[in-house]
Amino acid sequence: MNHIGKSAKKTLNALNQSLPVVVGVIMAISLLKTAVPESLYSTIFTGNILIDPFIGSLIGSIAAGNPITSYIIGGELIKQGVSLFAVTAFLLSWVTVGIISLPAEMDILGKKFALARNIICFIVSFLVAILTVITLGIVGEL
Amino acid sequence: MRQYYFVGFMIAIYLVVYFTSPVLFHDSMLENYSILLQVIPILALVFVFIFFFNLFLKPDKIKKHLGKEAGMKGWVFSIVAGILSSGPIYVWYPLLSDLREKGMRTSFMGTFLYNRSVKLPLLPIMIYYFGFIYTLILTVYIILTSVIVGYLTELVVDDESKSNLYKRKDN
Repeated sequence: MNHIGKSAKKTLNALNQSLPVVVGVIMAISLLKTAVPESLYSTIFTGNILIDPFIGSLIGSIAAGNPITSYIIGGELIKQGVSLFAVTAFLLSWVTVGIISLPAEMDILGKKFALARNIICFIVSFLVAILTVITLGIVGEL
Repeated sequence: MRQYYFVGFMIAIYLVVYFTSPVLFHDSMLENYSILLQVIPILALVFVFIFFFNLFLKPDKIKKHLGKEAGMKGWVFSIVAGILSSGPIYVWYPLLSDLREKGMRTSFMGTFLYNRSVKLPLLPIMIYYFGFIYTLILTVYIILTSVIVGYLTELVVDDESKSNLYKRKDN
């Protein structure tokens, strides 16, 4: 019984520590999703094969929401002639980098962990995009 | 107390939006409601996990399976758990924080979070938009690079994250 009480106390403590931060992130995501129309994303790309993947990673890092939305936007971007490098970087950073949820991550998992993880994921999204497109070329799918 | 800073900041922004753009405020509130409906069940599940982990899992068990000595088993577990976990990424932070306190390795946390980008239920939609080969190649690369992401994160963070955790506990 004592163990149950201790576990319940620890869980309530975790709830008290995390819930306000999570609610803050939900409020930030809701405002961003409502304020920024999906059509805006395609207007930001330049057509430059080197700059666009960086822009893709950057937009994906800032944007938030269900990954399905990123697939739909990604599909539209390809139709509009945006490179597959840029779209892949965009798709990856959408799910691996979270600037909106960064305050929550820093608060709950530590500032250094959150910053290191997000910066590493940002760079990796770039590299994986290049690797994916090169591999697609090698297997003859481009 | 500092856990309330961010939500306090967001409430202040919402107040500004309420007076400057009531339509945006209204639509944002609807979006909040919609996200909360999706998040609450997963968040509840996460706290149930935390409760049972605290009840049954002792730090030595966590250290054995997810700590420094876990080896390959720890990597595989982090990858599979990351792929299978659902809901928004931030919902899982409290559980990871709890597991780290019990001895979970930093690299496994990074790997777990990175593998959350493999969304099994959404793979058919991804295949529809980008094709089977593209989805397969990207998924394989995500899983492979998740180990590198985890390892690099640990390399940068390791000792520092633990000392931060202790500092926070002291507060």
